[in-house]
Amino acid sequence: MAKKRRFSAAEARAEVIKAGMKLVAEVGTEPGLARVRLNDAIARSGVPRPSAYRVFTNSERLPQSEFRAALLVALVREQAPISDGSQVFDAASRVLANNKDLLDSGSPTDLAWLLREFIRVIGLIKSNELRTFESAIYSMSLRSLAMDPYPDPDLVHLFDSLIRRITSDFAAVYDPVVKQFGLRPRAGTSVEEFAELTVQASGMAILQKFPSFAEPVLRPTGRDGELLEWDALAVTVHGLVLSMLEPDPESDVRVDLASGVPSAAPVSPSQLGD
Amino acid sequence: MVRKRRFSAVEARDEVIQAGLEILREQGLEPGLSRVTLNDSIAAAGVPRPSAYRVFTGPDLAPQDEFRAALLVSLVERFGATAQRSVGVVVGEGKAVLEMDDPVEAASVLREIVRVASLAEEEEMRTALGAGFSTSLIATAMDAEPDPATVEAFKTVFDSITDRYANAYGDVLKLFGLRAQPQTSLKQIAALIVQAADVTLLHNFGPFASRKMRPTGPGGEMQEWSTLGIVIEGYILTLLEPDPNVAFSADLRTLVS
Repeated sequence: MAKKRRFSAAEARAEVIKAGMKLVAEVGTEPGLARVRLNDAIARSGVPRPSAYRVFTNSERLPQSEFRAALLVALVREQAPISDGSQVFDAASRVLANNKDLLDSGSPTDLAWLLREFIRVIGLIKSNELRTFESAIYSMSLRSLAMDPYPDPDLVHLFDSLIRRITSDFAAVYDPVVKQFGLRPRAGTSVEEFAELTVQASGMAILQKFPSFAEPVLRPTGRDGELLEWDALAVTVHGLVLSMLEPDPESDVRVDLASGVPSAAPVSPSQLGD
Repeated sequence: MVRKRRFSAVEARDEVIQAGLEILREQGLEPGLSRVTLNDSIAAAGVPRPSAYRVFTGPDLAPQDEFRAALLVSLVERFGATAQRSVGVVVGEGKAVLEMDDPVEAASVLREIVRVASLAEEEEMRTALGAGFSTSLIATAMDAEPDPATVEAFKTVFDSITDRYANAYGDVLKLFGLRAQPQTSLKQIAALIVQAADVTLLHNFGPFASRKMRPTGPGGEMQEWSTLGIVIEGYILTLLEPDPNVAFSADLRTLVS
């Protein structure tokens, strides 16, 4: 008869959570953690059921909930090197390189156009990136925190540090771009706060999976006023740029942000031709 | 012997849904709607079981699903009523602008209206029910095979919320001589605002302050803004335009330069 391995409480917990993470990796996070069951994880781990149940029993929660909370903490910890913004940074560099002539032209309206196009393209890329495993875990943690009357302190702590890190990573990516376009945060705000709001707006990318929200916005923002597709995230970020940033009087670069906002007396293209 | 109260079908439905909302409030929102069972709600409501089951038996759905869809609709309708109230305040304030003809001043009044209304909106959405709505929405959006009844309920409710918003915004924007840009629509803008409200609300549980300071006062003094308000101001600047058919429009550009 095969001798059964004995598990300490800590080992049992670790083994069951490890098995749970494997299950998540197999089924994906889309169904949500609700479909990862404690029983399946126990069976997979080889930990005897009574020991496993003892480990996940506490005064506040059912073993199943306790297990899911612990699993979520483990997933967030595991996935901690979540998007550091480098993908976006690469894409950003490409857009700028492709339009180097505009960037060098120094024309305030050309620069404003380039900035807008830049936001549109990055928004599309970022929205795709956000439909990944990591962001699903991120939003699951957020949801779990929001809904749980007794949120797991580990999860609260991990999530807070995660979101702070994402925000400061993004601020680091935005900072040089903001300068490159001759902008600065308006009084009372900061690039960090701007980054924080864009991180919040990123949640909209996940909602796009919902059919009522999937419709992209068409805006006449092409070089010659042609209609281009904007996703919800990009429109939101463009709005945040207009409401939170302003031209930096100290900068050599002049960008005419207002040129993208329709004015009371629209100038027709024929007038522009002269 | 205690005489049993009799319920009409409408009463039975209202009572059971009311009990369901009560249960949701008591147990918190962690388990989501799925743990609010019809049976518990019936027991709490004191409605006789057969009448209650009759009320929640639809052509397509099992009583439990029919009940959850009704619960969801009821949650969201409360949310919609809040939205409408906030926008009502906006319209009331906006009337003062009718008296003036200074496009620059109009733009700053519009901004102040956005600020005040979104602070009120955010405050109300912070309630457990508002959060429950958002989290259910996100849960649904993330599910690979969402429950069709829930999706249908969301769709119906969303259409009605965005319609209400869109109509109310339309009234406000008319006061300011603004309209949606031709390729978009008020309804699409309203849908964006509802989405933004959901994600910013969820982030109230994160580490950052949900209120920001901006120098938007009449003399440039600092004022409190909700993140939702900042986002809405952004939509005004990116998705609206002056209506060329009216004599007077707020000058949006002054908010940027």
